[in-house]
Amino acid sequence: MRWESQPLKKIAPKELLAGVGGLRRRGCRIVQICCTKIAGNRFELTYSFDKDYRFTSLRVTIPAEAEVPSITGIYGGAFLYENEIKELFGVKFKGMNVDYNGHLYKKKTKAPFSVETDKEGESCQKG
Amino acid sequence: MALFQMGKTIIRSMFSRPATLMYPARPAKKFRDTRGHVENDINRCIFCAACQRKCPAVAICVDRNARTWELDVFRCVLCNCCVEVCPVKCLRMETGYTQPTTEPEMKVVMKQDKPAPAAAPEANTIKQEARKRARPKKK
Amino acid sequence: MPKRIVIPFGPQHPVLPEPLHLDLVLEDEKVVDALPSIGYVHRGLEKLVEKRQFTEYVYVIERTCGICSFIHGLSYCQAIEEIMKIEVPERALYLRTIGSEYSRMHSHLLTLGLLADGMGFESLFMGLWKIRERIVDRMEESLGGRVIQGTCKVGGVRKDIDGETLGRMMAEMDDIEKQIKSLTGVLLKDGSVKHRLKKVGVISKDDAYGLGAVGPTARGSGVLNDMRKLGYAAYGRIKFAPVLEDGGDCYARTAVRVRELFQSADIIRQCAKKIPDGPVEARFAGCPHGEFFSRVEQPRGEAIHYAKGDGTPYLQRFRIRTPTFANIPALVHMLKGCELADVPIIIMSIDPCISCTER
Repeated sequence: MRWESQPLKKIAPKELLAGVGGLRRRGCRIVQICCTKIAGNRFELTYSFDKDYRFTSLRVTIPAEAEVPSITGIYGGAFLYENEIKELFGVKFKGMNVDYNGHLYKKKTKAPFSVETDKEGESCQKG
Repeated sequence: MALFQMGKTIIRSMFSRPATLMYPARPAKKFRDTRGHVENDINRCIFCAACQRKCPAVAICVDRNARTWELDVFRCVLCNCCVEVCPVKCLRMETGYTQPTTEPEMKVVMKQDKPAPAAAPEANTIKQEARKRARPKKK
Repeated sequence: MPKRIVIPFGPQHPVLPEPLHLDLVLEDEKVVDALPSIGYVHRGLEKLVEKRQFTEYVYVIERTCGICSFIHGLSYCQAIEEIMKIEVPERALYLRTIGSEYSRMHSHLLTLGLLADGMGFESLFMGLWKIRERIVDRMEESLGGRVIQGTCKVGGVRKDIDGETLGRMMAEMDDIEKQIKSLTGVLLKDGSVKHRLKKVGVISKDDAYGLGAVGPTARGSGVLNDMRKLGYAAYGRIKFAPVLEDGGDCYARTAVRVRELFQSADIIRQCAKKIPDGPVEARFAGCPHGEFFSRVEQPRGEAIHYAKGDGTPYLQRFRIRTPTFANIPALVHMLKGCELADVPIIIMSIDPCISCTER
């Protein structure tokens, strides 16, 4: 069975707030924010929205140290997504309405998902 | 009325069998396809270690030289993956949950009775076994 | 200005099935603010994608949550199949739908039982779980597991249900429906239950939509949002209408779940009548290269699985956005203005599945 198309628009970080605001005015709801680490120590953030079962996404690619404007001013419920990305990947957000300051998850290492482990499977205990 | 509905239910359950099962004093319910525990027919095993490679919980350990197959029961999640990939179908999933134990670990170690094949390089062992099985048919 | 105190709620609490922490700011007995705190069962499952090949990763995904296990596996398989353009056979699609709906009935009965227990109505809790036991037995008999079914795989399902077992399951469905009707009648019509559920935890339609609420939490406020209408698995060929209620309070959300129980039984019957014969799995070769968002309707709402592959057997990124993650901002909104004694009921009415939320 073939699904509906899922259009994805790539935008620059400074156009993010304008793009999200436009979608809010059209009546979309926020669905998710996803972060992936890609080659060259860069992160790509994908913001997904939905209206009447039609799914669209905006994609922003940033270097590791860049700061991204927070969309919690437009969508108040996005604070959990942004805090999770901040904790697991180390991406900095500017202007979050609720900031957990790194205490959302209880973990030992800082930004664990930004560190890549070996792609080998584990061997059995006997070695 | 809702009051009498609960009253009816309560009186009915006073006079019928309990719905709960006195497990582990009584054995657990099981059906034909329940996934209970993994068993290995060790004398047919060829120690190819496909089950070890595919196990998502890293619960199986195969030693080809010592002819042993070991299963860490506490790690096994009963996913049925090893049973599906075994090329000679010596692994099977049986019903019946593992009994609780007070030991900190539980391993099932099985050793094959047949003597080890005479010093053959590891890479050819599977081919040799297959040829050995095929030889009587040719006669 | 009245004095404010902060009371911690959770992570250990008699009504909570899973650990969730809330810092409640109280003025006398009224809650004015709440700060949620999660992270007690974070297992880092998304990181494990680097260590398990994509064909084995389905076992990890199934074990994200015990109550919503089947549909997690289904959504993962759909994401990979759509990236690799694998055509799943018809019979497998119908079997997946039957498994999903059984899973939904089991989850709703569990939640309604826990809600009754949270109110102190223990005999109703036991009665609802007695029916749930019958559903879980049917799942074990046909699919192999009570809670973790281990059925879906990339390309189809691992196990077929033969016609005789299916016939027996349908025959029992009538009896199960009768029992559900009598017990949920108590839940919806009893005076003291209504007193505890009506006008408690109200959220309006616009707030629910703006905060991103999904599932029965949103449908109880009148927001039309049911991902089954997208037509994945065999839902495109089944006739059903999403269940909507208007109240926006705990009673409306409970009523949505009760009506969905009967809707699931009806969908299972339609599937069992229409299921065709044929194979249950499709062979494929290669590794996924591309990305896709797979959206499904879990018992608690809309779940999204995002898979990104780069041509190797290990996926580059896998992300799950579970329904409770999206409902937590709505929960915080509902808690403002309620009494302290209503807090457990409001939390139970959104049906929190925290192990899904934190993966």
